[in-house]
Amino acid sequence: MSTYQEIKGLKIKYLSADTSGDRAKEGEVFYNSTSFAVKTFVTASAWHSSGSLNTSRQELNGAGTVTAGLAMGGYTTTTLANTEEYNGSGWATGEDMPAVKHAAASGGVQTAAFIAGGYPDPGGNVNTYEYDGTDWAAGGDLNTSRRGFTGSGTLTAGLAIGGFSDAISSGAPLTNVEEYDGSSWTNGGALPAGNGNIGAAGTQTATVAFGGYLGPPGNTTNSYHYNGSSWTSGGSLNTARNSLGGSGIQTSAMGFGGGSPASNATELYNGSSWTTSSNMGTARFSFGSAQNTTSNETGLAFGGGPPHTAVTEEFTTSLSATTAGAWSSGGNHPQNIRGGGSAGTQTAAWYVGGLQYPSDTKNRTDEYNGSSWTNVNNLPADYFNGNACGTLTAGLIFGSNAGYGAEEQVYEYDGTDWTAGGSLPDIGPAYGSAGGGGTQTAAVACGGYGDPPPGISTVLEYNGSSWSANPNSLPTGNYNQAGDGTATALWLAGGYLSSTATLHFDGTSFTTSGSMATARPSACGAGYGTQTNAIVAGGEASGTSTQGEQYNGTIWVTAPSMSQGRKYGLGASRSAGSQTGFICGGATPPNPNTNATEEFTPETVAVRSAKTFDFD
Amino acid sequence: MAIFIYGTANNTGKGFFTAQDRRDFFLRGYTGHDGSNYVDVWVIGANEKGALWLAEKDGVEKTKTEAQNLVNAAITLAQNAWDALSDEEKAIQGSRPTAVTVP
Repeated sequence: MSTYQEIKGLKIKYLSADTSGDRAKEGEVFYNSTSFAVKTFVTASAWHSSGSLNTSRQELNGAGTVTAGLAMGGYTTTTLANTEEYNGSGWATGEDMPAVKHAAASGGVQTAAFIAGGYPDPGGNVNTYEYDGTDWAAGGDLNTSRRGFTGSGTLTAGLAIGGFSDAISSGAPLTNVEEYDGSSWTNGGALPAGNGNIGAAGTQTATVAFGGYLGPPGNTTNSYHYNGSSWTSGGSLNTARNSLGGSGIQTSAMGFGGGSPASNATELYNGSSWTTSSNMGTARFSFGSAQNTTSNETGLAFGGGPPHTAVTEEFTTSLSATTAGAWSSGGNHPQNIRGGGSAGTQTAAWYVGGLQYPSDTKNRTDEYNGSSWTNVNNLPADYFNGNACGTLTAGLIFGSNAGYGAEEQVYEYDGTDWTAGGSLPDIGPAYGSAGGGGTQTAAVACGGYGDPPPGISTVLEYNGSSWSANPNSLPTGNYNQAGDGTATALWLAGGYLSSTATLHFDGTSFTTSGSMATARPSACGAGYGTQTNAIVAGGEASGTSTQGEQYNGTIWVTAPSMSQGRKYGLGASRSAGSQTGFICGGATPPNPNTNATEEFTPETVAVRSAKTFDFD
Repeated sequence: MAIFIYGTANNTGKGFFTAQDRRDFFLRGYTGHDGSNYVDVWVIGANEKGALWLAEKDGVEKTKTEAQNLVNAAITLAQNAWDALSDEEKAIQGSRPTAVTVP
């Protein structure tokens, strides 16, 4: 019998357990003496969501990589000139192109890109524009005006492939190929057959072009290799489609999405054959992609349609397995609740006051242990729609809505009893639904309901015994914000008067951060977590949406949905310190209030299990 | 094949649906009313795990029309209750409940 050393010339490690953590290496073979098996680690690929484009659109162009991407032009109900730059997690607005374009060809990297052709110019468009990461400038004109075509390569060694000469109808696709040197286009080797909306990846002298529309009867699975002068046949796609994304190089490329109908299929190319991989989360065509990746291990898809979307997804390949975050049912509160205060962790929290039915109490307190709620000593007074923070044994509530409790009263919880804290200044019924957070000895209250509305901009800070006014105010008066954190690292998001905005407070002043994708005007209590690791769900105007969003301190990205939509005075595990926590109560149309609790388990990433070699 | 299964099942709280359930199938809850009591109405992704979940929760499968009618009845009750409020209470309670369409 041959040994592994005789076959491979290598010895393998003899271990009592699988390699783990950072020591796990792809392809390294070892023997596990406990399970009597020869094993190795293999990578896997998957798409995951990332920060959405600021401007939703389809028929846009892309360039760059998954850590430095570029989105250019596109179409909604009108053609766009918008440019956006991607940094690996979110998009920032760049300078607009000199003219609107969609269905163009593009290539290059974020700091040296080109976009050529496209329309709306009747009969096509020959204009080329070049981007240096800051500014756009005019480049050389195409020899053949066209749209619905594809680019590859770089700014100084680019390629434009196929397309349509007709501005509106699909017409007969072109075989024309042109090469760009950074200043002018020259004709290259023609495609073997006319093709529109073909996919492509690679360089000017080593590109693979795949799929596309041939004219009647339709799409093709063909792929072709270009060597800088002529085309030869490559392996066939498994799924025929046009308007698909492409990235990588000729010997390690990927094609994804396309249509029509919209597809989420992903295929990987090794220079001779295509194999299916993990599907995109959002099926689409006519989207942008980061074309200049160095292999088919990473990819980026953004925008597309129909209908036009801002969704961005990243394709990654790694040894790690990601388990998606999800909301699950927690223990039902004994009452239907809304507008109470709550704080703590997923397994040690309290909820007090609010509108509670049956029995219409507004001072009842219950504690949560991660599975059930228990009624404990009640608040000495009524309380509704204020703010709350702290822990199970050091809690704080402040700023009740007038008429449902004195708005200047503050209460502290020690895990057994509520006692009076230092009162807020009496400025009228203004504190209700203020944003805020912190601890029992260092808290901050921002804004409030106002009398009359709209909300106020006052900021007050608590030191455990008394409140003092911060000289800086909210940039805009607001109330009903989601928010959490500490008195010196607080985040606020949404609210009635600024429904997507996010603010950071550092104990002195406010700065603006990334906006939520979803307007949440009734977000009070609809989120929790730290300034760099937070989640919101619910709080939208309709109250029926369940969509979550999670925050990393810079941008919000789509998060899993709760099972039940809710708004107005949600309870949450404020001060939990992470995304592990819960949301409870709130108004759930059509029923006024709910007793349901939903707990969030964040996404986890772990090294995949080692694969056992099967010698049978 | 239908995209969703519709049914009623009492949300018993912790463990009623798990994080893995949420990864395995679509789930969206609504409040309904059957003429006597409020009921929890669920829209469930029509796959094997979704169907098993409803069965394991002693759920009662409904047609989409029946599910919508249950939700409509709860909306009518909520609207009637809101209409009976004083203007001050309406301001506190928020906007009048509006129609909800199950997917």
